[in-house]
Amino acid sequence: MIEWMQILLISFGVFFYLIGTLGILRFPDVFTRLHALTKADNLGLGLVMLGVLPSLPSIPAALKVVLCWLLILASSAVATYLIAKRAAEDQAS
Amino acid sequence: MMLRHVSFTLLLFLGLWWVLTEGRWSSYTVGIPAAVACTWIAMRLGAGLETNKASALQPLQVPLFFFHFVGKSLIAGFDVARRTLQPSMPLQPGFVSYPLQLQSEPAKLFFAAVISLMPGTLCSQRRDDSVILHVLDTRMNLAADLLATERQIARLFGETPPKSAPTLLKGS
Repeated sequence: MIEWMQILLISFGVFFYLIGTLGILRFPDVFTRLHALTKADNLGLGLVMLGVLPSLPSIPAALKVVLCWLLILASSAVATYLIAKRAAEDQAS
Repeated sequence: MMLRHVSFTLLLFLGLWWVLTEGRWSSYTVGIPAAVACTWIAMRLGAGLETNKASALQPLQVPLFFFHFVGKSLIAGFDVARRTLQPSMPLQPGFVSYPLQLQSEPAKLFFAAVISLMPGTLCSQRRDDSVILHVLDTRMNLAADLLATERQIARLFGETPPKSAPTLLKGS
């Protein structure tokens, strides 16, 4: 039962990663591509993380994976802002 | 108050060490000095940020914010998926300016970071008391969503949550 849930969660996660990549290819400019990348990949990573959690050997190991997710969220938010800011400045000048 | 703050931070770092070493007790000969050193550095760095005493992180609000965040992330992911997969690709991107009602600098910074992970919005520039957002679809009713997030963040930082949504200004 739990294994099926894990398979489902990871599959959905992979699906959202795919969406993120498809978004980069299809969307017209830097900003819209950033939207696709941040939203879809973060959700994808969250789902893959949830799917992996039950297979981990201990609570601290599980928390470590959650910590990775949070750090990647933080770095993705900051990197997105920096890219968007630079692109907006380039556009203005 | 100060002592409580220090011991809370120290506990946090000890917890972090526990997570990083996956609970190996023998590692604490390194771990305890490291946690103490990190606490000292955190206090040194934190002192500069604390311009407004009224705004401090409210630990009890963290789970509430987390649920809000996870819910919105789900919506954001599905929203992007829908737009990507539809052959017509319904996008109407544009810039809007959102005036912030949050008070403290950490809260504003946090809002600017979080909003990039929320449905249809992306922070592209920060002003003193507003953010310039890039939105995927200017037809979306974003003001209500943004206010809900701003209210959550206000509670998280112990500020009074703003009541009404400000008017969004189109264009940058």
